Amino acid sequence: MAKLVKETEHPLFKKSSKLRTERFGKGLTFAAVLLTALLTAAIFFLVISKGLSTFFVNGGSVKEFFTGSTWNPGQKHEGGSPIIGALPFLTGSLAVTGLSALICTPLAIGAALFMSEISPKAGRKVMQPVIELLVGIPSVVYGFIGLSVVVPLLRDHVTGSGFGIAAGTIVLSVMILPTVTSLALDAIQAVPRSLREASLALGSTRWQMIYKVILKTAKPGLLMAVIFGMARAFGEALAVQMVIGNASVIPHSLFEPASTLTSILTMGMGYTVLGTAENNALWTLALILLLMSLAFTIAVRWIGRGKPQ
Amino acid sequence: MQTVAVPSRVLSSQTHVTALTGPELTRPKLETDRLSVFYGDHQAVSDVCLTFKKNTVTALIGPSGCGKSTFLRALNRMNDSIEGCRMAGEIRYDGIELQSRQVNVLEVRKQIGMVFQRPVPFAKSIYKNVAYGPIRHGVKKKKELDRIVEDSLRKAALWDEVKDFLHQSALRLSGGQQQRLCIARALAMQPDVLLLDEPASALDPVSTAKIEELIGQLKKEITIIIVTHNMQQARRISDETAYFYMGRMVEHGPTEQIFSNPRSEQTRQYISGQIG
Ligand SMILES: Nc1ncnc2c1ncn2[C@@H]1O[C@H](COP(=O)(O)OP(=O)(O)OP(=O)(O)O)[C@@H](O)[C@H]1O
Ligand SMILES: [Mg+2]
Repeated sequence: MAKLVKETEHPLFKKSSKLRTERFGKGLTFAAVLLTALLTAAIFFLVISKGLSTFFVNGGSVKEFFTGSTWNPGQKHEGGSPIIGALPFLTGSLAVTGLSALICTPLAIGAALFMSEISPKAGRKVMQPVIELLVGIPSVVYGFIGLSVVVPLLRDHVTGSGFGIAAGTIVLSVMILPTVTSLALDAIQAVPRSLREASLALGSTRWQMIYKVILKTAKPGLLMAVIFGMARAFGEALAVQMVIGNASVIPHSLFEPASTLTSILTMGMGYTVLGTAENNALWTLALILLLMSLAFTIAVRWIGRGKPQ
Repeated sequence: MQTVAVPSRVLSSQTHVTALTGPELTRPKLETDRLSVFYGDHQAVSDVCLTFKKNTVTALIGPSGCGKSTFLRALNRMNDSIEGCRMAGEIRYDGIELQSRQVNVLEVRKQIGMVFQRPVPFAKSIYKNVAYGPIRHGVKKKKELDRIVEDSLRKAALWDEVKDFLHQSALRLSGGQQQRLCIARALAMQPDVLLLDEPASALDPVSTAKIEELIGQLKKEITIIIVTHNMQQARRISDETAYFYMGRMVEHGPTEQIFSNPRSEQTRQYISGQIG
């Protein structure tokens, strides 16, 4: 029989400083995660509870919120419920987001294809740095450029005051273009070289390869890029607010002043008192923004799920 | 001297055919004349002269990095798409210089098909994978496509396994099935020559056996060149073998002779496993 070793004498039971550091590191990480989770939960709780009180505390009508077109939460209907028709902002937000995605998508994919397939050298040397630069420009600058260039241009050469969905769309498309381009580029570059070669080896031209293999394979990634762009456009406040005109009506054309959820929110924030119906109504707009960004995130996740790595 | 049917499909414009003399029977399907391939300054293939006869299987063997893939890819001008890759020497297909300006590279790749080491199915249905080449080359009729797809899948010994879900994604097939799909995809172009770069190296023995059997069938109709690291496989399936070392073709001859009685000491050492 082997001699029994006293437990503590065996090298397996040695204390090691490495282990201690590791445990400490784990604890630290865990604390950070916990804090983040708590913060997120708190924000959600705040926005949801405040946002819902319009309906549950002030007695606003959910139906009116989504279908009514008069927004005046400081005033009350005869029954005592606040006037909270948010349809103009909902349509405004959806319109600028959808239209800017529509304009931005072909441009971004074209640029990304140019950078990865047509002229990788120029792409790497010139376009990539330019795009990185553009990504970093604060949105207020885009808004300012929109205000001083796009709005006058529309006013002088198209129609109306220049403020409106059209101006908002133009500013937003330019603003999200770099982000979408660089994400689309990632998606396209992630298509393995072997697939490109397989297509060429079948005697396809480069365009057939791009169209039938690269875009097809990169589709989930490209879709994600566009949705990221839309999320950014939907949530953008400053730049839009500066050029859209901020009239809380449903415009009859793209060239009439309109408004978005974000623009009304930023405009109204400073002028309401916490706890009032007016203030709560703004929280409801914030809740919609939160839910939409959640929806965008879920969409991205859902699309990314099936993506082969 | 007899006149030869001009394979004018290869030439984008029917110009010079003076090179086409000599009886078809003795002329190799494909031959390289002092073919060299460079990646930038690095020479990966040096002055390789090889001939490939019609209806034969030629195995290219040699240690890793000796330029087998590079040589193979030169044969259907796949190296064109690699930045910094340059070729010297000649490649003649039915007597036509493949690197000549008048030659349409898309037609070259149509007639000289290629299957890669790893299966690379497109993210499309099985049907669309096989129909990819023919559609790109202008086959439009649904009936005709159906026929080509079925034919090719049958030839690749895959038809029975996939005929009930032709329109589902090719990505759900197993690795072995995917590789046979890639072979079917290449066959759908009705190539004259098939280049196979270690087509079975990622496959299990059963799939490998299927592919080897397939190669035996295919050689009745076309010319096959296969790169393999598996000496038994080379011996089983090929009629001729060429041994490459450091970018040079060291020895070329009938497979039986190369394996039983190689002229070069180097070849003998490689085959017996002394050079890896
Ligand atoms: N795209 C490329 N760019 C630069 N060098 C390359 C490229 N492809 C291959 N090479 C080089 O050319 C040489 C030959 O490579 P090749 O792939 O032809 O070898 P191989 O015989 O097929 O090897 P293996 O058996 O491992 O597949 C190697 O030295 C390799 O590093
Ligand atoms: Mg290789």
